[in-house]
Amino acid sequence: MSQYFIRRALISIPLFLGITFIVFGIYAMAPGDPLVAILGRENMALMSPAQLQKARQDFGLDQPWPVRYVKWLGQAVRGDLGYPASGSKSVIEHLQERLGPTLLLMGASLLLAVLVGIPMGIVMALRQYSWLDYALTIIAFANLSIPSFFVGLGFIYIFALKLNWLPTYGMTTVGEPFSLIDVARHLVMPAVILGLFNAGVWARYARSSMLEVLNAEYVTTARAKGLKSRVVIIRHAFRNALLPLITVITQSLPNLLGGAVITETIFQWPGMGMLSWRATTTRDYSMLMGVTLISATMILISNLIADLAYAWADPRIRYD
Amino acid sequence: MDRSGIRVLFSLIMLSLVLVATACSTQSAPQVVEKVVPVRETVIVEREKIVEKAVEKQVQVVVTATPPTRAAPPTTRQAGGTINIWLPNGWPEQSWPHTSNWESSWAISPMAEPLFFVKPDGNLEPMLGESVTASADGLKWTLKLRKGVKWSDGQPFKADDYVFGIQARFSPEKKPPSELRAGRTIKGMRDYVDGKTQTIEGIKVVDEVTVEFSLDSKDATLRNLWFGDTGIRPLPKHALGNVAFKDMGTDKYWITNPVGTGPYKFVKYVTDQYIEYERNPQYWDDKPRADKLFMRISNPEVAIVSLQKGEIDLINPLALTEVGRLKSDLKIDILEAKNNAQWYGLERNFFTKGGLWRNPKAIQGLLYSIDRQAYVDSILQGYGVVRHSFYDGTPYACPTMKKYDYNPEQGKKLLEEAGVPKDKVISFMSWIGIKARLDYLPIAQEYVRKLGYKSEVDIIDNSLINDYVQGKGPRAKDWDFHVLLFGPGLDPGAPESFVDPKSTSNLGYRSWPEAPGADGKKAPGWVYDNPKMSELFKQGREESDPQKRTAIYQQIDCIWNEELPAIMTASPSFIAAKSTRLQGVDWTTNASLGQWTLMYKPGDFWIAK
Repeated sequence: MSQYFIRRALISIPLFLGITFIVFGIYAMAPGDPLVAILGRENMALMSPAQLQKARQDFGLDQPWPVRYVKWLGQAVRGDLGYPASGSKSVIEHLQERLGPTLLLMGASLLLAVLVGIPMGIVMALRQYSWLDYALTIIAFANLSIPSFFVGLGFIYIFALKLNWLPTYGMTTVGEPFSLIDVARHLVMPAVILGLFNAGVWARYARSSMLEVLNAEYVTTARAKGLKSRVVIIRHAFRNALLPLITVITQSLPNLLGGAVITETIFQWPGMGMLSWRATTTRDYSMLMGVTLISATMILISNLIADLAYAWADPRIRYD
Repeated sequence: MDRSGIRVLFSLIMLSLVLVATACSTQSAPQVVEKVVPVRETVIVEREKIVEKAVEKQVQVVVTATPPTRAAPPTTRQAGGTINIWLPNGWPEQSWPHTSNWESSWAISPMAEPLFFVKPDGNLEPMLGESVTASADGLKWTLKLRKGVKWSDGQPFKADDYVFGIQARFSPEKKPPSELRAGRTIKGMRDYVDGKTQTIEGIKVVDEVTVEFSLDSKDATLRNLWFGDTGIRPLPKHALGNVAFKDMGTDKYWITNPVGTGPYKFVKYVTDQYIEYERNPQYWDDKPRADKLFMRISNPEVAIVSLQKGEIDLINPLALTEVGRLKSDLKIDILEAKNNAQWYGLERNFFTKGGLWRNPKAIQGLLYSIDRQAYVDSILQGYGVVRHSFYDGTPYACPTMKKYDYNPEQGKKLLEEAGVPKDKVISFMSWIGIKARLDYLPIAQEYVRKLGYKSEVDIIDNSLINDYVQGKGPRAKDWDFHVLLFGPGLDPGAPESFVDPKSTSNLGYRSWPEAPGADGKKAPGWVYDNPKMSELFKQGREESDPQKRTAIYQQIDCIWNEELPAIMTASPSFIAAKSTRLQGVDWTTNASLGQWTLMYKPGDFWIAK
């Protein structure tokens, strides 16, 4: 197992370099002048060519992008991701600041999705073609097909404005001392919206995966042996149905740190999603690369977690 | 379906119904009140004779809805409370000399005051400045600062702080360097900006409250553009003197303890959530004001919900699409300020089809062809005015202004006379942004089509627009009209650098709309050249007498009105919304000259309890 770990870690290095190189290149080659986004077109119109050239130098835009990539990489390995196009905080400081809120929101939504989606899928499979199956299928499809901005605004209108049960937006109440209950109240709406979306997707996967397993011969054998229905479902069927679910769920793990752009923006949740949205709209390459770095790391880690989880779920899989 | 399924389904349906019913329940319940009202009653006078007569009688009247009444605003200024103001898009740039976006200027407003506010009547209202006077030859300006002003940390505010603010703003070491708009005529300013000198020759501190400015040439625009509210912000030299100009943009000072002279002082900034300020006890004007002020960051839709809920007191700007809905809310006031400083306009491509649009007749024809009043009535919902010349709506407007009201026959005739070919595809484009500006595109397209021309519309990403107008990149093409926001701003001399090729400003550095000439060099973007207009702009810049200055710009406007070097469509009003509890907001002054990006005297705001 340890050899497997080392091998995977070594493979991750060129993979990681490849991801950052390609992303850097795409950002750099995207049409448009990033300086326009930074300075504004009207301001640029009144700057002298020397000033414009200096501004390009200040933002490191005067050199070919491969050179800029090597410089960025050199700084990044020393823990310096530079400064964004504007503001007093470094990229690292921004990322650190966003990490907690993002983990909280995405962790809560992930938990909710697992607790709702997977049981829902199992029930749907066990009651295949029943009214319950149809009803839950409709709910699952509604969850994943209604756009999150629509649900978000609807929730705000009903639960914050009309019923006044929950705060409208943000992570804490402005002007109030910090409290966990306050954060939890702010967390409810964004976490439920994100969680229900994922629950809808995972319920569908869980249903089809369970259906496949329920018809397998070893399940029939287990039943024939006179095992209790619960034991058959949980120990024999569900464990084997887990493999595709592990793939789907671990694929969602990078989102834990990548954030949810739309939901975070609607609820003004100060997470990674909002940061990347702002960085994209302002063509802030330093910040975008910082976010990419986090996402790439998370993708590699989640792939590793997936492999380990396969081995746990299916005893036939060994990495020695 | 089994029992548990039915139960789940039933519960869900009931929950949905409850939620929908709750969401829709805006009508108040019917009330029964006792009132004396005239009613018609049948009275039996005689057994055989039945008549009807009007009587007054106390009866029970069922009132289905309480008539809405708007409470009269309180008149006595009250101290205390908390003011919450909306801040869209966060606080991207915290460093005061670096602010280039309006949100950052808006966020700084409670802490930093200008020297003077330029009022809608053109007068200067003293804030940190006391007076500004020009010498008889117009080459020397003297600024007197208000005495007794202190920074929020208790240190005295001095002339040195103001000059330090100028040096920081225009230092060649600053990253990125600042553009030089007003102030180009100050002696030695250009050399300082270009890094040739360490100090600015033409700026001299005379004493703690006096600064003298020596100019290379007369420049009346200095009064409004340099000393006015969009001019330079003083910076506390005692707090920032040790920070190198090159590091000023990223220094932690701006988000830990920035020191200002405004009515509120900084407390803390929670990224993408809010900025907290508190009453500045050192403030020079001791009017009662709120204890706390918060700038709350959110997207526009959520901000409106927060306003309705009473969590936010001021939203600026308010989308026109929301006005109708919010007008009926008794806890909300809609604020409108007529906009005399800006209009949506059309920038033409001077190079398309061999300069087709250089002919004023073609532009006049286009103006006659599009019903701009209909645009104001529908898209701007009446919150705007059609403009016919550059200074239309200001004291500098042409007294004999020609109006280009909708007249399709006249428009068609002029376009034909100007030689616009029948098969010409007239294109309108703009960059992503204000919806009302973008809505002009399909409207213009439809009216042009009505005349028998083909037309197309293009919307471009902000960072691609330069490439687009210069004919570079995958989406570049031979465009015709570019819809943008334009206007005279704070001073009638402001557009000189954009319009006049003979201007002494750095016009040559402009980047739009360029097309390489036959020699491969960039041609100047603005090929309109009228020596008479250039001469008048020069006179206007040099004339410091307000009346004479007005007459000069009126002449410019008459030429503009005829030759239309830039094309006006309509001025949108500045619309904001506030809670009825927030008082003391002078929105007309705040927005009428286009300074909606700065808060006008937030120290005068107060909360009615």
